[in-house]
Amino acid sequence: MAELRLDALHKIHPNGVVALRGLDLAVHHGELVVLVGPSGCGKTTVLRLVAGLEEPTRGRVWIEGRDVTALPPQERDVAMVFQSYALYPHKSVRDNLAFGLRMRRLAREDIARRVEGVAATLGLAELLERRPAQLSGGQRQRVALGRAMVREPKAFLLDEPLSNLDARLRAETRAELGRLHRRLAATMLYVTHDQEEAMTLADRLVVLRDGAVQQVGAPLAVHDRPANAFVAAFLGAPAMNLLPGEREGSGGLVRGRGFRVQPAPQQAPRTLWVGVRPVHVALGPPGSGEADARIELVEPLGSSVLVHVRLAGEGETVRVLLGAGARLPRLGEAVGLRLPVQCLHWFDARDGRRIGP
Amino acid sequence: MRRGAGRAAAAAGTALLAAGLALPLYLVLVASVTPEADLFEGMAWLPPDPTAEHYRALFTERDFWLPLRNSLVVAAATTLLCVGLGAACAWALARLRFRGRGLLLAGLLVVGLFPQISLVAPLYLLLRALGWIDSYPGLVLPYLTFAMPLAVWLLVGVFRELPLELEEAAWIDGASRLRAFREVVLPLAAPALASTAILTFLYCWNEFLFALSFTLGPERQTVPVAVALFRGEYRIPWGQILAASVVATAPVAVLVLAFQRRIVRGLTTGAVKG
Amino acid sequence: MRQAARSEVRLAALLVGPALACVLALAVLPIAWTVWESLHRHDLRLPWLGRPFVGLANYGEALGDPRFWSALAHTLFFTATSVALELGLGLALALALHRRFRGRDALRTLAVLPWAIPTVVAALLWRFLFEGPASPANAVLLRLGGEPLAWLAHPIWAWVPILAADVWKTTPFVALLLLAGLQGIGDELYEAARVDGAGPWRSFCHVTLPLLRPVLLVALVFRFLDAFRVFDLVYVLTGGGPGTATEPLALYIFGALLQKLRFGYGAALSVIAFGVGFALALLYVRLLGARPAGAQR
Repeated sequence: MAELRLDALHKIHPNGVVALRGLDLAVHHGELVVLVGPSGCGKTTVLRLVAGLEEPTRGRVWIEGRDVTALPPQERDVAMVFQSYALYPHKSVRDNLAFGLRMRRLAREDIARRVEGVAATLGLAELLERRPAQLSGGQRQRVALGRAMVREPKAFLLDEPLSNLDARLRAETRAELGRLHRRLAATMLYVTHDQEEAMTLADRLVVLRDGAVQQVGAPLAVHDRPANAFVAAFLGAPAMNLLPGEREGSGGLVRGRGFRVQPAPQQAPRTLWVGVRPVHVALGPPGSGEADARIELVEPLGSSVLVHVRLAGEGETVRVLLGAGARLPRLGEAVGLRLPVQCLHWFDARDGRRIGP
Repeated sequence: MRRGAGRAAAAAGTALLAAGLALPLYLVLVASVTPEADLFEGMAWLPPDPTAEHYRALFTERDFWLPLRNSLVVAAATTLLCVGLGAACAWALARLRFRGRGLLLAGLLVVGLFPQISLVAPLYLLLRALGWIDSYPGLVLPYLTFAMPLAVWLLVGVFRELPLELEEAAWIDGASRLRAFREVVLPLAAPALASTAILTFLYCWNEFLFALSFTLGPERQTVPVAVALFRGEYRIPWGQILAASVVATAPVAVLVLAFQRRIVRGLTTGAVKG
Repeated sequence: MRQAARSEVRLAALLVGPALACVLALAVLPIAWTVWESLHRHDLRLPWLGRPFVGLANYGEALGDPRFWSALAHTLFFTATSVALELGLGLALALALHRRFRGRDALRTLAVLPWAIPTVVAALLWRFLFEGPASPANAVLLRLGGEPLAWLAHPIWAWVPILAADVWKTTPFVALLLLAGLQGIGDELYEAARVDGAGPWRSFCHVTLPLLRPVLLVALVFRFLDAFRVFDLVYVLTGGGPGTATEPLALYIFGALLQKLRFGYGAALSVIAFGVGFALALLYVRLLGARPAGAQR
């Protein structure tokens, strides 16, 4: 039985904006599902529908086999970590943590026990008497998390919990969250616009765009086999190169400005995009490989080198990722690009859909 | 060089302004303890023989306790009702969605701008029909009507500024709407509620036109009316009038001294936010 | 699905209801009544005449009533003068309070006090200062080499204590409003002006004034409406006298209603007063609010 089930959820706002188009999702017990996509794609709407803060226009929400669609948030037994943390500013950390338990009329000893337990787990024990205004951003985030944990809810809803932290803290906290999830074995629905968070934390991820689901699956599966051009470009950094091309003849030859590759899959249409990740492109002398190009920009990143090359005949700019020990090419140098056919992805240029295996 | 001169000029200007503000008050204070005979014979900066005669006469001969009591009762009752009803109304306007919301807020504002003189006649007739002339409700209700628009206007802004997420977090934590209001919204709005209460109290304490029109005798007259209608047997009893002025101002002064920052913030937030 | 929306409306009705009922019963209906009454002849001292409908006769009478016109003139004079003085002095006081200095809090408390005391008390205070041949005002006048005046008995000089009382009482409030506006102007703007070579006067004209305009407008409209309704001050200071030399509109209406008991006529005067005040306020807002904020220089 799925812990959380979303059945054909639609949400249309009173002003006519369609926030969500028909989402079907089953989250299993203890699973961490990440909803990822650019801003405005509807991911926060999903969270608010599950929490009960908004009503769906159509569809149902099930929690542990119970239809909660008509229930107010007070009765759903889920916990939410807001992007802004939403800590009660006039209450101490202890009272913030205890609030939900007080609402459910737990005995005082039980409340104290749980609060202290969670505080110990999250390293908040010394901060219990402080107010939110006296805490750092990272500490506030942990209190927000603790407030959710202390309630031992059926599901956790996390709305971009890391986006307000600075870069270094974000990476550390991300790892902590992953460890916490495994320790608690809790069901979590996690929303983010950061594809790196999605890739590293998710058991499964759901890519959303303009309220519509693009793809659902395990991170590596979705990364290695994107269902459309949007997902292909969204996941993975640096982003996948998408080169427009046309199929010529019946031999599966695809030609674009500055490159020619083959063979395209059998059912490929005439206009399509060829996708190849920067890490799969190899540089060689001009004339060797499927494309000719000139070096436009070299960005040494420390552990790798990102090279931007411009395809011959005013073609696209292609990103190439070289390893740390590679020779740094010179600006303006003419090179040849090798695009190994087994690393290529093919997309229909009309609707972006994936073609082939 | 120029900056020094500028600063000196500003300091001088400020001192002048402060003197201008304080001087009349000081003079009244001095006059209130000056014997009647000396009052217009050229007053000194410091009274040579101060007397409490005027204050004594005020409370023993003129029963000034009465208007003080009336003002206190009316102001306190109006303030409590105004803040209570005003807060409820303001929260509904800030948070709930219903048709006519904008119209209601605009309408409330317009009412607060009515010249009160145009309402004296109909209110008089209405209160007379209800038997409320020269009574406490006869003052509390009109005061409430005119203090509430300001209260609602101030509080709507405050409630709108409170992040809805705080209430949502409380709901998810299991608090009912009302409980969330009590435990999260009210404590955070408390300073604004206090400001509104103080401003309402001041309005009631100082109001004159309605008090003059809707009360008939010393039993229910408020302080401003009592002070304005002082009559002497032969001449105007200036000593007592000024003593009464000091007494009338004392509660106000206390409030202002204690809550000056709050009052200023309450007044100016509404104005600056537009 | 609609249930939540419907219960929201019900909750709103519950919360807004009492306030709305109060305002409707004690403000909106009376206003409507006043307008209706203004179309009738209703003299409580002549009850046998009944309450006949007379259309716009009361308005006609008002327009031909010289005392009405002088009351209106007095009101406009008082309003224009006091508002101008208060805005000017208020701005000066606000600029003074804007700097950080020791005792600023004490000055602020002092500034709020005149605003907070009852208007009646302020009026009595200033009346005391100007009353009689041996008044403090005359003492000052004598010191300056002049002759003592019977201020309050003089149709023109009586305005001095009236204006002084209003300016003394209200300037601090205006100053505080403007101060809030001043504090909203970021320091960077002044720094940028300095870098551009502007001296204190020019940065005042080109940075302070334009950015202060919305607050100035609010202060202007509120003060205008308040001054237009002046009653307490004049009632206590001069009673409208000598004769009717200082009688403002509100006092004239009060007399018509509660002393002469001419409710119909008084109602018509009230409507006119409300109309004029409202129209002028709208005019202000339109005139001064219209220009877009960026259009200076």
